[in-house]
Amino acid sequence: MNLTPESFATTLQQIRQQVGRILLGQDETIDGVLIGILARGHVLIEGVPGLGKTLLVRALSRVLGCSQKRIQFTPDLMPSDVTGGNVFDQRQGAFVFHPGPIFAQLVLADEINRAPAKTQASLLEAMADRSVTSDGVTRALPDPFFVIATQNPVESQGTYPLPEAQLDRFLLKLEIVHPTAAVEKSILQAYVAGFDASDLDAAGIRQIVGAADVSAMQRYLLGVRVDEEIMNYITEIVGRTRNHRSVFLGASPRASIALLTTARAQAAIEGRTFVVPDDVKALAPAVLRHRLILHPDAEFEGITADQCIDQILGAVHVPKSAA
Amino acid sequence: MITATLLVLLMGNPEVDAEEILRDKVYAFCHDPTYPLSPDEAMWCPHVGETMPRCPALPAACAAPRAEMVESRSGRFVGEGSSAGSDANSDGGVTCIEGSSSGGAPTGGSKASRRKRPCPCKGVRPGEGGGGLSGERSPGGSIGGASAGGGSAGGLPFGGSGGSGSAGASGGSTGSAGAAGSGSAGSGSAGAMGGDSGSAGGTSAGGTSGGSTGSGSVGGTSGGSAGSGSAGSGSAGSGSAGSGSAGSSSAGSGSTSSPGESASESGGTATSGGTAGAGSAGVADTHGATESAGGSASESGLSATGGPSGHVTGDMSSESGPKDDEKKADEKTDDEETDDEKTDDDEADEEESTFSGVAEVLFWVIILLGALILAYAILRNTRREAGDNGDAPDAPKDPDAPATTPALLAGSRETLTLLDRAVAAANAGRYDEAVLLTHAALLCDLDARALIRLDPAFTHGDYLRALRPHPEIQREVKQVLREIEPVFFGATRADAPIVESALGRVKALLQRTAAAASALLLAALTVFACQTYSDYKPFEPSPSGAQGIIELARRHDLWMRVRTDPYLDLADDHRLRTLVLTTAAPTPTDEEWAVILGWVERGNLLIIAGADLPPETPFFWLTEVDAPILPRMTTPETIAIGVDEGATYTTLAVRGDALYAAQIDRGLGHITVVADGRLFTNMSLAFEDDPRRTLDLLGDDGPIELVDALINIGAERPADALANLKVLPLILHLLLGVLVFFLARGVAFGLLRDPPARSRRRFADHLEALGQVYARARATRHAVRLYAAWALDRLRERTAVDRKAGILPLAQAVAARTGAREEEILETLYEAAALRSEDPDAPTPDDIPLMRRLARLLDAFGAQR
Repeated sequence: MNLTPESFATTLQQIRQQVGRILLGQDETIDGVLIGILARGHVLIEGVPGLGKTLLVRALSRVLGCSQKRIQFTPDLMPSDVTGGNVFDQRQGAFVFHPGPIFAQLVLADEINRAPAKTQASLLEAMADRSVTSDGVTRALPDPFFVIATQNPVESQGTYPLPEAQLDRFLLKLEIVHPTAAVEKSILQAYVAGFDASDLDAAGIRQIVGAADVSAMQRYLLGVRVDEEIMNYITEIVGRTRNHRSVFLGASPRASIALLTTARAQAAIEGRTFVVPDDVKALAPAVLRHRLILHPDAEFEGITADQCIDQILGAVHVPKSAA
Repeated sequence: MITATLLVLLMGNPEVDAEEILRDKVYAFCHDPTYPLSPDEAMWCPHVGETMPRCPALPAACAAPRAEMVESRSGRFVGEGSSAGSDANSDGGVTCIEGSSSGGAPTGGSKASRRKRPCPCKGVRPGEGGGGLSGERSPGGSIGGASAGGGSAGGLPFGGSGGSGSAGASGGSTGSAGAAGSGSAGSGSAGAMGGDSGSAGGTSAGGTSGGSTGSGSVGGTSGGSAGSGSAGSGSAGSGSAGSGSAGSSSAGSGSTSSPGESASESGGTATSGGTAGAGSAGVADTHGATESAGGSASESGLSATGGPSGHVTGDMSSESGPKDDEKKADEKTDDEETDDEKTDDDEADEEESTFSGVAEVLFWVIILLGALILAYAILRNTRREAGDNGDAPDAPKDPDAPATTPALLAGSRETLTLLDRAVAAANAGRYDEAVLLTHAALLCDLDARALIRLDPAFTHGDYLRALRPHPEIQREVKQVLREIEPVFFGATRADAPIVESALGRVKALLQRTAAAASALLLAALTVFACQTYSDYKPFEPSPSGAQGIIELARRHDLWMRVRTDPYLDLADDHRLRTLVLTTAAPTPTDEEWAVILGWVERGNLLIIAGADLPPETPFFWLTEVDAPILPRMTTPETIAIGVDEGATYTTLAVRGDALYAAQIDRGLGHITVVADGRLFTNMSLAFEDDPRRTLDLLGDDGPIELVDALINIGAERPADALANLKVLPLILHLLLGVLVFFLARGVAFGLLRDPPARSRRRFADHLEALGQVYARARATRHAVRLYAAWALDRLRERTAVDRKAGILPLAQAVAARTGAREEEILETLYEAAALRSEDPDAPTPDDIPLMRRLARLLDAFGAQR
């Protein structure tokens, strides 16, 4: 796939349009997920059930031409239920590896915080190294590989909050909200008109690109220019998270890299070959919010990570702002 | 003679000046043969000859057809058919008396009628026929209908009205009242009917209502022997025009026309009629009263005889018949109603005055605040500029040198300066710098227009979002930024086309700013333009206007203008020397008259030219005088001045036997009464000697102010102007509506700002948050342990029991103090003490009850605090 800035932007626009046809009113979430895919990252979506997260993954897999699997995380879910495991084959008289649902290009880890820590940890290697090791054998995951994990922000009973190390593996944390009344009405009208979420063929969702094209688009981002002042801007933002009075533990260098790669993806989506401060500023909350650990005092004050990020963004000078 | 000649040489000849003034093309009625004269203006036409050197086109204009009913430029409605009847008033060879000879012209006595103003009581005195004139323009522009009870004894031809509106008929209905009119025949008065009892003089006129419903009927009388049949003409629509096309019949003709009740319902109308004696046609001068006046009564006959002395010796015999009584009662009721209205008006005026005062204060407060804000902004920017000038380093000289950093532009708001620097940099080939400066100029301009707020932490996207309310500007700015960004952050090198394009777009935006600023400036100037309203020249150079008169006066060193300030301002006016009330001047209230007369008494001159007369003067108006037009002082109406018996005055001009201009002294000043205000119009300049007479009347002392319908309209202050226009309440309502709208919609007036974050919360909030954290973590055991430790320490402090003494002494002490059972206290305290050694992560169901028991214990002991 020979990509130019225009063709890249056009392709992305088509993908957004296709997914947006069935996932109404969630444009920001769609953009965030696409940025995560292009930046070779994983996305954690926080939102209540019933907002179309599974539908989003299914639609994306259809449009991107990728395989997809869904894992419903429960308290009794074992690591092998995720990664797969060796099973003794009596006919062969040997252990044969049965791949788990992680072996798919798009994986939806639904309600990831309902599984215990050891099960969550089974995703660590897969997400970081894109491979699974079982019984000493490491198996590569398909390319592209992308995890969309969801968690419910409301319930706390019987849940296992993700550890910081696990959270840091996620490139972006998106917050999905209820649609507006108008969008919700549109959803109802679509269902009245015969839309069936389980039948995407009937919905007319078509494939735009293939898995190889997605990989090519991921590689294309490497050509997006990042000015030195943009890098200064990113490091300044991330650095300030470590000095903010309300933040107990700031963002890691991995956050800076995440900010850089997502900003590149954002620039490419908009048809640019260079990153502008707007790209960084727009994605900073999604990249940083799950990477900050606030002081207990700040939590008592009701301060959120997003507020801290806003304060930081409001204090860091934008390159060439002329002000 | 020599003196007069010298004066003419020194001061200029008014006639020559008038000719020069009218030579100006702005006075189109003198230059345009097709000039559309209004019917009111056309009343001059009978005095216009075949040719008119001073005003060459006027004869042709006079020959042009008239509109039926238009609003004259003097603000009065007039009807058509104005010429008839006036033929009878041809020159009579009456001389104009100048000087101050006491005594005056006798009134011809013939057709005396009272000219009524919108307030029907004004100027009417007991014993006089109430035939009134109206036709005046009411404040609302309506025209009063007629009222004139005609046909009183003596057959006085009360003018009916005409005016418009509800010009009435039934004028003849009162004819029966008159019985004892003395009628001095030969004087041309209505005395022709005198001697006939009662039945004489019933007249009628077909009044019109605004020219629309005029019946044009002939009002006749069933006259007695000498009853005058009159013919009310159908043109009674004219309030002032003395129209009435027919209106004459000879005495005793006993016309049998039916009384003219035909027209309207309210206004009693009388027409002239029955002008026996004079033998002349009774001019159907149909002055009407206002609508409300409706059919006023004519109570008395007035027969005036002109004595040799010239003093008025009118015999005011007041004999009222039953109908007269009724009419008088009606009139009284009308008067009361009018008084009530006036009272209401006064109250409204007072409220408005108060309201205006508040509004004025608000207005100036707003202006003051605006000025302060402006001054602050200028000062702030000036200081920043000073800082910039002191801190800014020189621009790079090397074309290949990197562009200046943003810090160099920090605080700079001189958009044009930045743009100039950008152009200079581009010309020098420093394109990177030029792009940077262009970008800075753009943002500074937007900031100066309060479209955005410059902030070092704002990105281009932030600025574009701030510009959402202005989509056009947002689009333009977006284009500029999209051109600049590749240079700033991409691999694109700035070059001439990029700089040229960006500069072009920014300049276009700046020009739009300049246009907006110009519009704002114009709007501000418009507001302050109210201040020049006092120089407004109403009705400009039309025949009914006063521009020529003002110019003539100024040529003779008399500073003259149209008055727009209220009458009441005369109380403090020590500058004005002469005030001219024209026919269009609104009737002053009693309070205003007091102020005006007080002003006169301070040594000033009041000229009342056809306007309402003050209540204390000995003059009253006579209409339909059977007197010739002055040969060298031409005005069209046959109006004269009546004078109370025994009054002392100075005659300035007479028209035949009729007094045309007179003067009385009042205090140190004088009041000059002129029968017709048309002398102070442009048209009079066209007639020989009129300019000179006008100047003579004006005297030689200025300043002079001419009062017409526009008084009170202008104002020196914008708030007053709004109040005068009666739109201040509307504007305040609109402002209130806008305020409510914005309050309801919550739309921000300026840039949106985040509310300040709350930095502190109440201690209870902290505790609540802490409790929630414990609850989320299911750490009740931990919380109970902490609380139990604190409770034990607290109890030990209060009981002074040694720590080493153990729980039992503590329990005993607490039991002794609280009176509770020692066993229960001991159990509670032991459980609390045991928490220290237990597993903190193993919550039990007893945690919360234990905490409550400890709390009750502390409460009972008084150790909670």
